[in-house]
Amino acid sequence: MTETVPAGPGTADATAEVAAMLARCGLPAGPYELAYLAAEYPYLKAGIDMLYTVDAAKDADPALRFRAGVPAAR
Amino acid sequence: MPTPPTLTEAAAALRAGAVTSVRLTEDALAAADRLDGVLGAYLARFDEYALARAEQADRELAAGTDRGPLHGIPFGVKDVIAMAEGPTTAQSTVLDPRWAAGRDAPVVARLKAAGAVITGKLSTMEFACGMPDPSGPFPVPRNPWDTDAWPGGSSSGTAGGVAAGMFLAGLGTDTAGSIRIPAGFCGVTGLMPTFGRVPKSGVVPLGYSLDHVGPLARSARDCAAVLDVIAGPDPGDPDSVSVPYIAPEFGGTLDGVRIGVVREHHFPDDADPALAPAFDEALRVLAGLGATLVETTLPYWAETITANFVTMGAEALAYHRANLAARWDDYVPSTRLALARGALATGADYVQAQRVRRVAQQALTRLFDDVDVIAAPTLGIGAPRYDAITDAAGNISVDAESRFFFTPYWDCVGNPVLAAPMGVTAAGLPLSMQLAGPAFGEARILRTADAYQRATDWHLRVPALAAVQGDDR
Repeated sequence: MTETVPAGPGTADATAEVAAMLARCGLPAGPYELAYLAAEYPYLKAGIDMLYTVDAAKDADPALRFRAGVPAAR
Repeated sequence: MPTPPTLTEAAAALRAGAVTSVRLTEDALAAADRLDGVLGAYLARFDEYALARAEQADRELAAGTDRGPLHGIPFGVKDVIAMAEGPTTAQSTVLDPRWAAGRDAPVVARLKAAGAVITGKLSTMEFACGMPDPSGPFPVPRNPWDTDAWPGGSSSGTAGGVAAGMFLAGLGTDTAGSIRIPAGFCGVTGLMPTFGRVPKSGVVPLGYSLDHVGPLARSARDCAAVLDVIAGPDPGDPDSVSVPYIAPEFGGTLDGVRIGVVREHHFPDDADPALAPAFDEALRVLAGLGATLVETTLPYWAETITANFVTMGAEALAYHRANLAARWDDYVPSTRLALARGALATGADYVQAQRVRRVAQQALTRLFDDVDVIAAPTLGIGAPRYDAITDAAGNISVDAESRFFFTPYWDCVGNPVLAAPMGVTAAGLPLSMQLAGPAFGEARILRTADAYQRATDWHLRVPALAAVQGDDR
């Protein structure tokens, strides 16, 4: 049976890059998952690159939370 | 009373002696007996517990002890939220069954203290991020308006169950739209409160900085009644805040209310043809109630959606990475694909996403200097049929449809948003409108939605299968 993989520029470079990132996290993705994510990756990468072009964010404090003092366990 | 009643109607009927909690609960359980084999809303039912709680509610109300509008009301809880009466599964075989065993999440404890009759735990899609898996051990949730269609997710069981009268309200969670998407597809009202307004302790995390717990019910008034009970800080959730929640005064008019109307990005050419006319009609109703309409745009739309994606991916992968590495095949394929996306961004990307969130949040705050409420469609389409979102290998995916989901922006900025039914497609499937407010401005959007719902009846319409159930009672 065929499986639907999103159409996109899932180039050999993207496939290799995605495979490396998944491997670095120890995620044993199969060929279908690798192809799927490789097809998406160029669009995700373009979106992430766009985050770095937001002028107003150059001096923005990130919305991270860390406060001294130990909160109660969840 | 119409069938099934709204929470607010049922609460009034209880106090008028027109119905008992036991009767309401028996009716809700009967609806589940009749319909849940098809709809797949429940993962676990607590019938005996619920009937005992209903009897207790009737005794208390008869004795003059009134715990408020949820007292004696059949209520459902999404199965990522801990409840002592049964295990939390997150609809996964991966989650340790001992997770939060025997404990109530603070929101559940608050519901119990308010006298709610919790009837069971509800379908959620695996870890609130996968898709239904017909080959797995859990039911495939179906939409009460078209049982061949997806009910939306991940709060699938809560939305479907409310629409079908299996309970009168329920809890969901929203990290990228998981309250509002199913509310929209199932024709019910869903409220994502401000981030931190409702504690998420005792909830299986998806995105630590994005997860919101909130109600789904028939009406805005119903949602307001639930929010009044579940709002407030809890020491177990460091993100929860002690900003007082003041319940809205429902006036019915919108004189002086400025509504920012958002069209940009919300009307793609291939959106459902009924969407634009339905939205225009909803705006006409709001203007007729006295609101002033102002065309506006949402700042940093694309950037904020990307920031949500990066943030959720990273936070979810941090939680799941060890299990993914060890038990990859135990996850539903769509879930592991969604979680693996978190590996595709760097730590710097994550921090940059948080900087963009701050910028978007500040820009949005400025926008709310000029408007009181923002209105936009929730979704660009009616509920997709399963056969349209299932590939030849049997994988169910809405990745292609997700561009019609206009919800993740709001999770990322943390503002409160309510999704309300506003019409139907040509096929009779619900369409939905979002009403968003400034941070901690829930009362404002609830009041606006209530005024809209007084003037319309979309939220009162019930699927044919639920109406049949009512006629047979």
